[in-house]
Amino acid sequence: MAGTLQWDARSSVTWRLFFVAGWRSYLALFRWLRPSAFIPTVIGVPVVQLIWAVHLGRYLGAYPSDYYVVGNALHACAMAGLFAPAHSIQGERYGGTLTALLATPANRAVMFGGRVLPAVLTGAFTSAVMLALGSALGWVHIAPGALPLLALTLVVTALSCSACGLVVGAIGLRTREATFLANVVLYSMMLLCGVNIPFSWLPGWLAALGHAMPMSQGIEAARRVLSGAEGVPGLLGWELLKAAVLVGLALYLLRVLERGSRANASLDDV
Amino acid sequence: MTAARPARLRTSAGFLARAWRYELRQLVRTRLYVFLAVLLPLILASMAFYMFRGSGKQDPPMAVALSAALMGMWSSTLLGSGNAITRLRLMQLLEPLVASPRSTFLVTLPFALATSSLGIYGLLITLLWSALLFDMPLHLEHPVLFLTAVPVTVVALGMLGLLMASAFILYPTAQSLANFFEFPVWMLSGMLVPVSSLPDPVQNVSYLLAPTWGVKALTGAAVGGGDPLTAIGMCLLLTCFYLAVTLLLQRRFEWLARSSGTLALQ
Repeated sequence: MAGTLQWDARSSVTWRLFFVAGWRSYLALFRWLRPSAFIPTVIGVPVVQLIWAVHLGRYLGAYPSDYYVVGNALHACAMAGLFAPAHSIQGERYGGTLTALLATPANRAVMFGGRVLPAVLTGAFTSAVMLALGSALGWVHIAPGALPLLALTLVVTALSCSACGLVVGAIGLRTREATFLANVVLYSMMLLCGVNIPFSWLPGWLAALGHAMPMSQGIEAARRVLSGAEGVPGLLGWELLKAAVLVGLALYLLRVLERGSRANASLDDV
Repeated sequence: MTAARPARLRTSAGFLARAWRYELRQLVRTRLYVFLAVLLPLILASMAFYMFRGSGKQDPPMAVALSAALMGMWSSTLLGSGNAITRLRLMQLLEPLVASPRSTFLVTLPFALATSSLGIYGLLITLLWSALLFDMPLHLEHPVLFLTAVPVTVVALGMLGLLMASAFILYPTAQSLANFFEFPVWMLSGMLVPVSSLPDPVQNVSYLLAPTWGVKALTGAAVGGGDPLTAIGMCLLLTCFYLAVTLLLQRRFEWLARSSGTLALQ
């Protein structure tokens, strides 16, 4: 009986650690979700980026507006996906709570995995808002029948970006440069992942690098969903595989770098 | 009274020079800022060249490279000026600095000057990158005008960044607004896409932005065409206007921040 109770308590703590602690960590990123900080960051910046990209795309005249709407709408999920997990670890460092956090016996995979979930949801939500905006402005046509598969594509892409954000956050355990890294990845995605530039316009080695980065297959899948082309499940499978590899890498880095940070007493470096 | 004024000017100039040097040292030790000042213009230049070449658009390569450099310069200036105030706030230095007898404008001006100074480095490295990787000819139509336009544009961008960063004194969360202004200024200033392709009412807003004239001045001086001298003059005029507005706004924001007690908030 006691064993059952103990097991139940452990299971409840795990769930709380994943959902409640993860959500609270996410709220703390935006100073407890003040609309004045949350809306411009999560919605405002992607909106102006989308308008800029469509304006540039129309000037170039190589592709119709929907090409740029889809690319930039999906790129929008990278901001939440990359920065939220990365900052949630960096924020603990700046708040002076990282040492206390890592002194707990909590399961690291659950603790840090919980910080990815809100980023995935916010990222997918941001991309959905951008696509809805593009549709409302007449820049992209979304057939109602394509919505379920499109929603799945957004979630998978957001998951892949957030997994990459967790890798960046893990590196942030050892260094103070998580924000720097997240920025490098964010802007590199804009160049390499087919957001505004088709892979055929890039040199071969850059295109190969772009294909290996998170989000590239997700963007292609979203374009195919909207055009009714085939091959979407295969692309989403690749994107999921990249997400799984990145999560595995992040968990490995978290373990190794936590040990290294303890050994070098660098957890409190600000 | 008359002897005190030159002495005060000398002290202020000395303070500006020391604060600029100190801020510059801080910036080059911040990897995020180094990314913004050095790597971002290269990423943007590569993106611009691949997009223009792939689409077959025949814009002069020098104009594309200059636009990309200015895009990077604006991003780094905007973030640099805002980050400086946020950093002071985090280090709990904003309150004592504002309480000190020196004007808040003088305290914040070196931040804009330092970020702008690094912008010159970003501009040079972008031109070099474009010449080496994208075979851009490094030829300037009017070298003297170009060398005049560079500092004028850099200071104009810095002053616009400082004007926007003034709000950060009052609102602790205003930093999140900084990123919001990155793309609109790229678009309104005619970076990569000419202002003439914007709707008419929007073009009127563009002409109130000093970077618009900076783009015209630099592009005109580098590839010919347009009237770079007038553009330099307009850029200077608008910079003076921003300076006056920043002085007024900072005085007001400082008073509001003191009375509402938000200076120490994070």
